Amino acid sequence: MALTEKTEVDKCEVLSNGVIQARTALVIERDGVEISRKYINRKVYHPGEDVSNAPDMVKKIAEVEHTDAAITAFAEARAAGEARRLAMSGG
Amino acid sequence: MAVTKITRNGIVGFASALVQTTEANAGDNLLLNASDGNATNVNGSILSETDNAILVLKSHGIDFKDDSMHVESGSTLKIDSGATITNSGTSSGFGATISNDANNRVITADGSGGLNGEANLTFDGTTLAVTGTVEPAGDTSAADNAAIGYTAAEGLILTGQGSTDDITIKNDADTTVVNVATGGTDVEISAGNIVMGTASKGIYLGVTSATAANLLDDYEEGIYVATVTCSSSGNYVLDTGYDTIAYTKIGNMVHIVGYINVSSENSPNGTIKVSLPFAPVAMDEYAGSGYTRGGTIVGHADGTASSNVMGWFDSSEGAFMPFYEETHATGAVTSLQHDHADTVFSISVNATYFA
Repeated sequence: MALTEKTEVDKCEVLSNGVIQARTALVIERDGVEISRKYINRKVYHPGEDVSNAPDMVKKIAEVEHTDAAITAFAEARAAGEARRLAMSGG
Repeated sequence: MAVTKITRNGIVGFASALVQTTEANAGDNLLLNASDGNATNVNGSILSETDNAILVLKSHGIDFKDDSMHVESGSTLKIDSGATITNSGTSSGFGATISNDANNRVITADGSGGLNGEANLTFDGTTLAVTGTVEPAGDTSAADNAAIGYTAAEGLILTGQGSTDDITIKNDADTTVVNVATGGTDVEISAGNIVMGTASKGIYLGVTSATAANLLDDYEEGIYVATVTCSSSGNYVLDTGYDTIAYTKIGNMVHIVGYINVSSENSPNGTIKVSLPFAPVAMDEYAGSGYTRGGTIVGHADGTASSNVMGWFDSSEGAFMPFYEETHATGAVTSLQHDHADTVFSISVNATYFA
């Protein structure tokens, strides 16, 4: 009986604004058969964010989704949200 | 002594040529031989008119040799109780012939007066095996012990009744997987869970038709390694033993709980914010957005921060919860800048948002 442990990015979700949500799972196998899967991390990659250290799956998705237009749109939305929020709250 | 003539109740006497000439002994059979080709009349029945027929009357039965027996129209061939019919050859003479005869094959009519051994329908005394499909054509009824039915409206129908359950589905290990209690209307998953065969499929709750707002199609629990950054640039370094936050996502609702420690900084500049496991979703107006006391900074010693620290959820921020300060004196809210916190502090979150 051999127990092995590995981590893998088992899910990547892409939102309409280009945000990539990656899930990392810790998988334990006995003789090659999975007996446990636990989610040990979630990392969100926003347009414009550095993905050089991201998993390969995320890099490939970012190449497609993180276009200049998506990066600009996301930054503008973030700035507008910040301004609106502060104005609304008297800041 | 040889028998030369038998007369009884009008039976035609036999010519001497028809009669066994050898003297009979006690226990011998009576043999009537029509070897001359003439008709032989026994008790009103006509044996073969043209073929050689031999009738042997034995003490325990009747044996026709070399030819067939003819039962006329209107007469009855009666087999007494306790007697058996053994078909040791072809079924010719019984009115039907078995085609494709083989062991355990179920016999069906072929529509032409014959019988057919069905290769795909067998019964070995225990199991009725069908190679192909079984298609019921009628409805089941109450009190059926175990029935499979069909109606045009209901399709396949399974019905049963037992003292504990009416319907039981077991796996190959004889373990009950699904059952319906006797007379019950609830379905019980006895020993396992419900697994959707396709990701992102769920259950419509509280409705009888597919309604998107009633679909529960996501559940996930786990932890994530948080990051603390600033809106303009830079970041904070977390203690490796205090850098995870737990989350549970039920449908579109995410709850996060955790306590993380900042141990140092890398040129932070701007609003302090902590990462989230999912990006908040955009809803109408500010639905789904708002400040939360469930996200705050503790242990920071900045003399100017006479305020309450709050987190904020907003889809425009992506998967971050930025922090804000509500000034005690005025109630005004400003973003919590990096210079409003020490190099070392902690962040506590216990909040719910929509993703």
